[in-house]
Amino acid sequence: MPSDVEARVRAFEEATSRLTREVGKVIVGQTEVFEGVLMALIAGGHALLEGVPGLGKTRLVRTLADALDLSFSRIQFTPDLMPSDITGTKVAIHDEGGRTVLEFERGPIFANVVLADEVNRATPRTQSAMLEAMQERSVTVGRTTHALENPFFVLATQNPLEMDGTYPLPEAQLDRFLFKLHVDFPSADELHTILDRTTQGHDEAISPVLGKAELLELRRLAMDVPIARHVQDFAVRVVEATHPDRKSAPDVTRRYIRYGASPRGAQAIILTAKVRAVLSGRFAVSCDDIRHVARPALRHRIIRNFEGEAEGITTDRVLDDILRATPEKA
Amino acid sequence: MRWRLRWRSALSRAVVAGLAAGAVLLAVLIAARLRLIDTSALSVAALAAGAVFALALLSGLVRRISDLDAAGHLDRAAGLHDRLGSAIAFGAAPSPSPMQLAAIRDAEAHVDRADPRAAAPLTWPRGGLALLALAAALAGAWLLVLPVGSAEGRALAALRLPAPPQPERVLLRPEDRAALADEAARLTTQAAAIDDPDVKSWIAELNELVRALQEGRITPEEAHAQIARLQKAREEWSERVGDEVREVAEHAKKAAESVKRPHRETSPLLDALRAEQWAAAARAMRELRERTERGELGGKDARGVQKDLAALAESLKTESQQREERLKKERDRLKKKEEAQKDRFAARDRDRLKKTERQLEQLRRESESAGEARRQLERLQREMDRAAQDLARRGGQPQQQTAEQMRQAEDIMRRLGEMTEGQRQMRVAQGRLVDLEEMMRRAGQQRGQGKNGEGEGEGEKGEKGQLERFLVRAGGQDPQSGKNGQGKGEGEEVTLLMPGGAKAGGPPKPGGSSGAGQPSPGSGGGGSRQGDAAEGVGEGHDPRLFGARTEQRAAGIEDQVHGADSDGPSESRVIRSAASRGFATQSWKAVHQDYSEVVEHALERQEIPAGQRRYVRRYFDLIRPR
Repeated sequence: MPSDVEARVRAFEEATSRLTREVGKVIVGQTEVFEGVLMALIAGGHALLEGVPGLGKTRLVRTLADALDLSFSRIQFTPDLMPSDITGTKVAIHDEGGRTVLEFERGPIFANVVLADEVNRATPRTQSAMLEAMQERSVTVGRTTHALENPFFVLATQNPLEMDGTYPLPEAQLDRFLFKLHVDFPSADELHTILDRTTQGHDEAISPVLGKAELLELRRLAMDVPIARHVQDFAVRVVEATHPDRKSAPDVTRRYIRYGASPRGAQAIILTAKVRAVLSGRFAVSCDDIRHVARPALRHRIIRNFEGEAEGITTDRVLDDILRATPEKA
Repeated sequence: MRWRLRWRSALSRAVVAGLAAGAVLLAVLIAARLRLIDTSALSVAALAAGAVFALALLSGLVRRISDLDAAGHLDRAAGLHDRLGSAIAFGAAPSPSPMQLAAIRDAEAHVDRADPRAAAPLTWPRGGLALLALAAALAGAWLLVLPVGSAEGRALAALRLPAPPQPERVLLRPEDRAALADEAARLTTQAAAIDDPDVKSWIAELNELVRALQEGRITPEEAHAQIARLQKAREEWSERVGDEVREVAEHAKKAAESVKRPHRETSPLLDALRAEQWAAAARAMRELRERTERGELGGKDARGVQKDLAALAESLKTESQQREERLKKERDRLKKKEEAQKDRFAARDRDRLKKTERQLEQLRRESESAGEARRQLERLQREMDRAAQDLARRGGQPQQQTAEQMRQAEDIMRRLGEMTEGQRQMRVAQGRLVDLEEMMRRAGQQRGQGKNGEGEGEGEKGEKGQLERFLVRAGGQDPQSGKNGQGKGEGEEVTLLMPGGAKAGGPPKPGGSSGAGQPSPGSGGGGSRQGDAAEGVGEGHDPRLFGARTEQRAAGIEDQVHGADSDGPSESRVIRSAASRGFATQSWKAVHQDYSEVVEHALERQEIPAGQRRYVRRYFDLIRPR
């Protein structure tokens, strides 16, 4: 006999299916990227999308924002963008009595979904202000702290090719993104579909299918998903295997990695694995979930050494080897 | 499910153990067939291999399989996403949450998909084929080769056993052994006369090494290791004592020289310091102390002693002590100023005070890390200063406290004397170590020649062969081919020029017809005579028509002198050194040690380039009187 929990899980599945269908009206393919974005959104983290221009990163985020009944703002990062352009600033206004008073004018970061487009083009100072707001979920101007809205979800994009005039995000700040997702070139069939949809003069209208309360309920449910000790142990061993100074580290880690993932990396794995379990209609996290989320959760949290960089070894390749070498059973 | 997993584990373990045991058994079997070991060992090995195999199988069968392990296999085989494993884990929780209960219900709903056969299939374990192949090889070796009686096997095995290698001992040349015997005796005497316990024990160890080498009861490796240990111990001792022993003595000498018109009571002490004789200085200080203790110093004498000691203490101050004094004065001045001015104390003065304190702290650290010699000198200066101050306080009336300070100064001087003597002895002993290395090098060369079959053996025979080879080479003959390098006829006489002239020339050798060379340009001159065969032209010719590149015939004239018979015995003299009269004022043997010490000192002060030090040491070693 289905209980309340089963009903909540079914509702979860229905809600996410609705959202996927609605976004699918515009976005063709990119299933993994959308799934990653969805997991980050539900888990309450932020996501960094990396891909060459024209692959639909911005469009994906815009469509998602349209499908969610949430406030949305977009910030185009440029080298002359100032921190106050993001957070807001105090402006002088005349009150009803005709006196001049300073009033805080909220910046674009005060929204539920924020698209930080080309985040690596802004100066480190501006990036830092943005990333601090992401971490603290509040903005302090003068002596007043302004809480950001809940849910607060930042989707940042960056282009890995044009490095001239950019300020790559330092590792410490990358750690604040729950997921780093690679946006790949679509397949030939997907490209046909994209062309058919975008060159015939009419756009699909996207209607909001998921509200703020529903999203927060999804988040609560995902956090309730239990994880067995042996599954969590597997996640811990995967994270430990990224540290070259650990005994359990495989050869690839010892050879190419300078620093391994932080405990925040392990938190990201568990949180998103929970979301993935419930997205699949299951009530507990499995080792497959851990394997599936390990790459986007850890790829930006491990730092290669000189040899790794010189030989062009990607962190994805290192993680693949680690996942292959780490047995599910201790 | 559990039994399937146990069987899989048992088979897997048995295969691994069987491969290892089978390989050992095969090796034993082959050894037995080759009669290297007794065949009775074969049955023991077979039993052991069987036991290992059975134990491995048994250990797999009794292995404990947990519920979680079994569930994990089932989950993976059926693609259940850890449903069963998680359900078991959640079921063990004391109060499962609603979500955990839902997960358990979900697992129950999916349990039908679990298939034990697919989860733990009883397949042929990895390595099974290799085990079969090994078993076939064992059977083949067992059946095809006939065993041989154990007695014969043992006899054959005994024949093939190689003799254990004997460690090679250092075999020094006889004259080196004789020199070492003298050296050992000298070291024993030397060790008895030394006061410093470290130096004493170091020299005793060196003596033991010398004896071991002299008696030939040590291998080259052991000897080199012992030499390296001694070198290290010497370096450690030098580091502890410090390299400034000589500088300290010179400093004390200058200090003593700066005391003008010394009192008669302090003259012996100052004279000893001027002569850099610490032991004599300690004795003089003891006499002064004893006179002070007995109250034999009158008021005038005590004042004179006080004045001299104060002057000596002032001059004994080292550079760092003087600097420390200056800094302390500056610090005290600034502190007084700070107390007086309080809040008005200038920031610049505060910085200066901090800087002065930092410099004082740095000086203190430097002083702590200085060598023992420098520290003792500074202590000596302080004791002298205290003694002088004490005498001044009491108006020239010495007391027990003054005597105690003098005793301290006396002990310090004695210790400085020990260190000076220890360093001198260490330097001398360092020369002995170099000697030992040189002897071992020569012994190694001699051994190498013996091994190559070129040497004549050891002792006189070896020297004779060496001399002959040298003479052959000096005569221009190629020692390998035995031909005359200079194209000279064989009929020529070999003549040695000797003082006295009698019987200096050897009898003419019978001329050989094979001589192909030309007579030397000078050989036709007055007094020269050639063998009979050299007068004619020999057969063939020297293949080197233009002669060897090193030929310098035009520069030399070969002469022969024959002594007359019945003029008495011939005299031969070998000059081994420069003339002892004339410019030389001292015997070479007497000055060699002093020169060596100066050289060692220069080497330690790095005045000789690092790459050249070994050559300098070696030169002085080679000219050492033996």
